[in-house]
Amino acid sequence: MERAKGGIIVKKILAIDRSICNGCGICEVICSIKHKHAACPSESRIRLQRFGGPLQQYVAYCQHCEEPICATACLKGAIDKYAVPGLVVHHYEQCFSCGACEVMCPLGAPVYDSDLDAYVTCDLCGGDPVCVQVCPTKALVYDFPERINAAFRCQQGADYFYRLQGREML
Amino acid sequence: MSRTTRCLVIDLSDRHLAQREIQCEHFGGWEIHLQALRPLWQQDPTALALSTGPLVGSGAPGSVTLYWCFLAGGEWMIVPMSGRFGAYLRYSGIDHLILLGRPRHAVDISLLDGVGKLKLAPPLKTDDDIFQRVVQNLDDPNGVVLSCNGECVMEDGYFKLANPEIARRFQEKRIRSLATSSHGKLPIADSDAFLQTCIALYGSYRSPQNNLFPVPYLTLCGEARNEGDANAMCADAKPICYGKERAALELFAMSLLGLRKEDCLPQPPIPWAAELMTSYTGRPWHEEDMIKAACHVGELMERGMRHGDND
Repeated sequence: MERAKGGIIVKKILAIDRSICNGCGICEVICSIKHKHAACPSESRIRLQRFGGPLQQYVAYCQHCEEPICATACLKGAIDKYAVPGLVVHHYEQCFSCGACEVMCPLGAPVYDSDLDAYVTCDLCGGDPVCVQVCPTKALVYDFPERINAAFRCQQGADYFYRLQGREML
Repeated sequence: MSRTTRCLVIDLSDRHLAQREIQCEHFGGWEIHLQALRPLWQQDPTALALSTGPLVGSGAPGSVTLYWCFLAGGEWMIVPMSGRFGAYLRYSGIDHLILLGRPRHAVDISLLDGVGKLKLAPPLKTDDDIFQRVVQNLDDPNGVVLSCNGECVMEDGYFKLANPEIARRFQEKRIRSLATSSHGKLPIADSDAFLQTCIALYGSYRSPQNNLFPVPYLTLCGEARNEGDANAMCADAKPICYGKERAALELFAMSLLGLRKEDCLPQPPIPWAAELMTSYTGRPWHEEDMIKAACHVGELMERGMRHGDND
């Protein structure tokens, strides 16, 4: 999940290429099957907002921020950021469902789980996210940031080059 | 193999909504059209039915098939459609939606967790976007909205779902929008096994040679506005008659389950469909069960249903 690079711990991140995502929503369904043992996209830890088509749609999930504001907002101190796995963890047994974490999160990533009666967030499936395994277009990736950035820059560069050439990408 | 399905019947002429449970001998779906709904078609030949199979919304590859069914020129028509509407119908606890009659004024229909509501649609100005107006008036915007722009039926204001024939029927029934949202769920008996089967199936697609052919679990990119053939779905809008050939029965059994057969998925399709059904229902399903169900419904169809009468 992480590796040392010049003494700095680098962690894998969950990322999405919005230019590839077609808004199918399978990530939502599979996530809920994994965590809730039922197809229940409204309580999935990764959520798709699809209104408006590909230009406006987005996928919301926990970014596991370095300084998570949800942890600051939690009235019970039930959210911790663990440096080594790099995860923001909701201790749901302490949660009393006030919803402050969801309100404060810029993405609204925490989601209410009716089975646990608590707010929860993406746990990256312990290091092997199922949403990445099933994404039909491979828009979701779980990898080291520099690799994701490099692939993205290559793609953007290639697009730019082809635009300059007046050709369309295949 | 019997299955209890829930059917929401909306009579648009008097705004009456009724829910009822129907016991199906096999998977439901088309069997419903052929048996339970026959009296409805005798009562109203303009009835429009939307039906789902047991695996719709489960997350399995291709599990998006929603069938639109209606009578046209005395012929029984079935139009398959992808998109998320069928899945959200099932999350809200409805397996079939039947639209009867015709209202005096245009209506917006919303289904929130299976509870239907009809509202008079406000008059439109020339530059109004139907979809935006519907979303603004929704009680819960977390769902799926079908709207009819006169030429086709759109999902979520962007994805083109159905051909002009369906759009015309929407307009005849004066339905301006049909929205569903739900916080419900589809329980899966053996979720771990189901998940592993799904991952394996999606994994088989995700090999490099299949990169260009997305498995259509809720995938709509090929049907997006301004893309593709506007009449692409018309080819399916014909009475479908399946013979007793194995391939046709396989295809029929898959569609009864709510699955679309995809070339990029492992062949033959029935074994993995049986595996999915086994983990989904928690009891063993065999290929023979599915073929038997397909034969049963095929026989019903071969009797030649006309105007809701199969004599």
